[in-house]
Amino acid sequence: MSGSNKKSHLLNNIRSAASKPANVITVLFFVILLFTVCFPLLSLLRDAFTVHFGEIRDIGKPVGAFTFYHWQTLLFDNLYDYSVLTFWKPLVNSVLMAIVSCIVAVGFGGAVAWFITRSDIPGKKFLSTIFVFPYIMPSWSIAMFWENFFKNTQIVACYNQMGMLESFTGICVPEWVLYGFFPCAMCLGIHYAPFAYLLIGGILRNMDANLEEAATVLKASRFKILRRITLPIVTPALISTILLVFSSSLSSYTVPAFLNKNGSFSTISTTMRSLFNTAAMQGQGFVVAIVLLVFSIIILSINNKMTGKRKSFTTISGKSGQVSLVKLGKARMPITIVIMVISVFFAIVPLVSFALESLLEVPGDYSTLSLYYWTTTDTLENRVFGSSQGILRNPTIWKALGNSLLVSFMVALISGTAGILIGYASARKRGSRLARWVSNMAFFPYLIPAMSFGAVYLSVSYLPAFSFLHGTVFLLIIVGGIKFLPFASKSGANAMMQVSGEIEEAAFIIGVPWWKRMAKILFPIQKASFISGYLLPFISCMRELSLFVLLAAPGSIITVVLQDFEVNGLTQISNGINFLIIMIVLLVQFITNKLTGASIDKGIGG
Amino acid sequence: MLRKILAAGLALAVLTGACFASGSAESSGGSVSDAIAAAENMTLEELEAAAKAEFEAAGLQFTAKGSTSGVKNVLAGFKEKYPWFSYTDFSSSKDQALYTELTTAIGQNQYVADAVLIQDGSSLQSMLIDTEYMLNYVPNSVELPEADSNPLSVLYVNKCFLWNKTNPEYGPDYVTNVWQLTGADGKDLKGVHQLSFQTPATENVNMNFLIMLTSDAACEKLSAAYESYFGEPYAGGDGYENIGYKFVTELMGNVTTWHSSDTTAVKNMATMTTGQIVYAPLNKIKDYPETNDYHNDLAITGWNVPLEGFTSYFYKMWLMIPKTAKLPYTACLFIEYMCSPEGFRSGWDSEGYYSVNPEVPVLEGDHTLAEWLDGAIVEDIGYINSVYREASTYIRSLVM
Amino acid sequence: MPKIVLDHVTKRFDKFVAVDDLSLVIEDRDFITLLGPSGCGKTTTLRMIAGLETPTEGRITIGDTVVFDSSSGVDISPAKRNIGFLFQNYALWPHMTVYDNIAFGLENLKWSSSDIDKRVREMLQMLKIEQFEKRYPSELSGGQQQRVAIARTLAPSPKVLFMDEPLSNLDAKLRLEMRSELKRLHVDTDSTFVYVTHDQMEAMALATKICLMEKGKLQQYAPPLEVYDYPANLFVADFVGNPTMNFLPVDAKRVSGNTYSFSMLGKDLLFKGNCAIEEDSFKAVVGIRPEFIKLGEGQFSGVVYTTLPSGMETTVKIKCGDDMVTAVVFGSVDYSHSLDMNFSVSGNGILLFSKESGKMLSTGTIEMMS
Repeated sequence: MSGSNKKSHLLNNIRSAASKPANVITVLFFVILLFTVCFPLLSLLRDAFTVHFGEIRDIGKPVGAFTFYHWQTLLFDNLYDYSVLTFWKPLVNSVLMAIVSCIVAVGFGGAVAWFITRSDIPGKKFLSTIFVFPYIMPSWSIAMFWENFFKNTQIVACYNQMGMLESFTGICVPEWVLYGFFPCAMCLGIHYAPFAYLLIGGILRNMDANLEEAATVLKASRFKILRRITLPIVTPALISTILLVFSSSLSSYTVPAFLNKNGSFSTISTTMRSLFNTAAMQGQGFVVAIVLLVFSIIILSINNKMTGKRKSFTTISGKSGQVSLVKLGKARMPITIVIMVISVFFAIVPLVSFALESLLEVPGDYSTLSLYYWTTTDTLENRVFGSSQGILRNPTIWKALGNSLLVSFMVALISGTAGILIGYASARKRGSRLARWVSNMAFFPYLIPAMSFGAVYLSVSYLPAFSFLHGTVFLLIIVGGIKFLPFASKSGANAMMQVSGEIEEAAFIIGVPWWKRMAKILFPIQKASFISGYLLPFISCMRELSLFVLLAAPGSIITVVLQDFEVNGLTQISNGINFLIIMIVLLVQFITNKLTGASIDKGIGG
Repeated sequence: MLRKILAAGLALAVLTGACFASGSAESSGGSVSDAIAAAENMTLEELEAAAKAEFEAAGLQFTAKGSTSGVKNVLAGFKEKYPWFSYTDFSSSKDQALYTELTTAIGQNQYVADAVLIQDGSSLQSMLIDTEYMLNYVPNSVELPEADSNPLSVLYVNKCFLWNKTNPEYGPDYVTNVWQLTGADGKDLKGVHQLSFQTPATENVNMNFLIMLTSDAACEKLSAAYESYFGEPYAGGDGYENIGYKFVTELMGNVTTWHSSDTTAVKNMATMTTGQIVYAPLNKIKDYPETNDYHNDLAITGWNVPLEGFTSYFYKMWLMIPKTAKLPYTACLFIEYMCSPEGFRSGWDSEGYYSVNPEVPVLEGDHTLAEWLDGAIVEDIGYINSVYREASTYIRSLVM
Repeated sequence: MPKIVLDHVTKRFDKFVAVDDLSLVIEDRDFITLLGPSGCGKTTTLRMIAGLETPTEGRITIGDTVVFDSSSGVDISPAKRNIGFLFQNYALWPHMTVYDNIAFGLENLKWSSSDIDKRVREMLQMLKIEQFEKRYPSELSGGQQQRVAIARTLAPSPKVLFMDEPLSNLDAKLRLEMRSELKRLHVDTDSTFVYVTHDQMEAMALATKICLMEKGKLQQYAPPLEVYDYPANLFVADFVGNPTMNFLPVDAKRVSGNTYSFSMLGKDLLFKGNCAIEEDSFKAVVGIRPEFIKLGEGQFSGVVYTTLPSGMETTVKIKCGDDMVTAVVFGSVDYSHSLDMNFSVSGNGILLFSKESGKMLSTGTIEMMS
């Protein structure tokens, strides 16, 4: 073949590959993600092997020099049992905590999923609405509530203060119920139970009822059906839940940090935070980050292996609907009451307690209820950024809230859209290695600790070429768009996989251009799932702080303002802002649901 | 396929390069240090003129950063005194965020601020001073002790032991000797068993405090208190390197609550009437509920009740100029202002904040810095850094 | 006008060869069925011609246009191939009404709205679905959905129409009905149809030419009756025809010319071939269509094994020594089990295959050795 011929051949090949949008998207996102995701990842890796400021003295090498010091010290240093106490013990604690929270999440969430889809329990609609609240709320709000509820005069660590339970019933729970391993595992379990409910419920709902009915006809008992038919079918969702809850719990920081007042329980993520916080130990913090990353990667690849092949069995058959519901009989009321009470307890009461905290002039003293911190025009504290008037009259708060909404909206737009495109590419190019890479890379931001993710982008924003981004909301939007991509791309891929390729090809054949196929065919069909893909990043972004704390200009977004008030002692206002944030998130979710039928469950459950 | 591999490899190489290469902007450190050196030889009037000229020529806004919110008010006071001045809005940063921001920006030779007020001597020394990222300016309009002028510690803050003394059972004489805090019963006094402390694993100021307790000066104080508490001198031989280590070990072992916020802990003290002791900065009493009066309610060691051994721990806040500052003369003038009585009190006018400048008047009901320091443990960057690795590892092992 | 030429087309998925070196010419206005068992590559072939799948190698021409050529890198988008495609699952857009489903493609061709309306009404009428115009696909039965899908595909008047097992989701009665309508449509629309099916009856009934494939390889490409009467090999003979052909292994020896002798069903027989055969002595398989077996009297004898009456005709299985022979009798008869039964093998359509290569060597007649 002659040279020019070869060249035109190559050109033709490129042209023909470029005419397929799935190829273009794959390559485009490969390049984008290579820079936006692999860069932080590589720099994380680099940081675990190099000397930082503050470590020069101990290591005796200049900043940036290669070293195994961090690994060696953290994993093997026996001085005062250092590595056992700061690494191995917390690691074991974290793993145990994650296991128990999985059991709680799957047990509770799975049971509720079963009751709602397969039994005649009353109030299903209400239950399924409020049951997802704990997932929408930040996990520490449940921990905070747990403490407010269980603290009592018998426990020194909570200053012997009376909590709700004691003041209503006089019951004092022992200390292990309030602080340490048990409450951490429980709170995380409760936080992620909706997740299990959504995943397992989604499968139960879509599962062909004939499968169970066939067993009923064969005279199998209810229990046997559950054990032999239902459970095996929901196994992929079960495993998926377990692994995702496991890796999320493992790296959860706020809950164990909050419920460790008696100092009895250290976890790997609290270790990481403490190491990052210490100038001479930052490198070791990165080692922990890498360890967590490796854990998550292993867990996720197990997840992919175990669910990848079986998923196809459980997609929508479209024939369900006439499930014969289990009659709970005498147990109906007790079960209903138990589930309702627990759900309402963890869904509504934390909200109420936030609202209450913002209304108390003296913390803990319920006789000082007033709207003062909401409505006053006094300057409450001149050291906070901007204005410190009551929440409702405070221009700084409203501006930051507006900014947060803008940032979250843009982040949702970016990551949701990118998620749909990546989902599209990976569904259309199933089996292509590059497409698989892209979808894996899109999941990586989930595995990188928010703080170090933020730190990497802080350093990018100081590069002369990117300095125009520094301190702007654009930077927040970009970083948020990448960080919240994982769930969006997962839900995008799920939604795309459900639409048979023929649906699009039918339009392709008659010459409908790609964007029109997306806009007029694919999007409308999977509208609910796609919008959920936008909703998840929005919710996460609204309440995010650690990702933005290094990047946000003072007073720019609401969580930064919240922290400013919190640090300067105006906890009533910070609680009130918290209440506002959660209400806005719930409201947005509610409105979206009413307008489009999309809800958070479609995004995860898909 | 080959093309794909090549492309991926190339991209990776570019990334790795970008990742490992440090930023290489123009170095501006020289001019800032020159300016500082020049400013140190100027009179206040000359400096005012230089700053004004610099400020007007640059057409920039002044940016200060810091981990304490008082800076916000100092900036406002400075602006009032020098109408030509203007500044960007200030918001206090958390220590860790501030250190990350400073090292990142200055490490890439980028502008980040003109003046920085920062705490935690161990981090400051290793991250910002040893690296020459931050430069020191010694003001000449005020007389400062030699020890506090380089690095310039403009602000002293103390942490004390506080309790609610309204319950007669836990009155002002509830705790009079630091060894009570270890939980051990003494000759005449009983050990206390309710101690609230912020963990040194994440709170660097507390880590530094505990490290300082192992210093010779602290050991002396602890030994004397020990003898008076137990009725006999400390004999050693129990495996501790010195009495400081013994005290730290037992103190940490006696903590019953690891609170996560000093502010919240102090706010909650209004209802803590059953002998809970909180270790927190004295200045947090400004967050005590306004409906109550802390003068009546609280016993605070060194402030209104004595404590044998030591009354409080003093840590410092250093005011320095980043080497990438754009307004060095203005920064120097700002430092002069913050050291002056007027400037200092514009930022900090409540108990618990002390200027190194003896000219700054003491607040009513408070003690002078000198009086305070007499019975206190004081942060010493040199000591902390000399024993940091060993001591902090030991202390970490006590609390993890 | 559009003549479709496939030239050494191969499609590989990783190491799996879905279509292996396929060359095929589809003449204008043909009704071609791609027939074969599932996984034989027929759907892949169809999708490659339509442009939905990219061949690994080869060249495809539609009319005068090369739409794909691996050696020059040409790959024309399906949208520009002027074709229609009817999908197995109809692929109706669930969020659009019947009307919109049909109109969407036309809008896209920038037709004027009055033209669109006219054409849609025409299609609705043609496929007798006028009353469903405002309904959504989920509100229609399978047969109605199929009609909508056809209407949508035909609306832009494509010159070539591809169909991928379009009737497989319909019940038996509907399928028969749609079959005849499709055949009628072929005549009415004056276009080329390429139709994928695994149902040989459907292929026989519809096609002007059948392209039979197995494991990615073309087995035979001929008009239906030719495929039926002169199957190229054992696979084709076995695949086409219902009930399937009887295959009886024999050792054939040349007697003279094209005449071979062997023993079969317990008798010594002569096969008088119509074509020249090279080998003198070889392992062979004799293929006899069930309709060539006449029950009642004859040289062969056996025992009735089962009788399967279906009204118009009856399939009878007869056990003959170790062999089982299937016969078809016109009309409805019901033999009792284990009845002794004599039968004969008649006609000029008896087939002789090489056992080794599977190739059909000759048609011919069978006679008793005298």
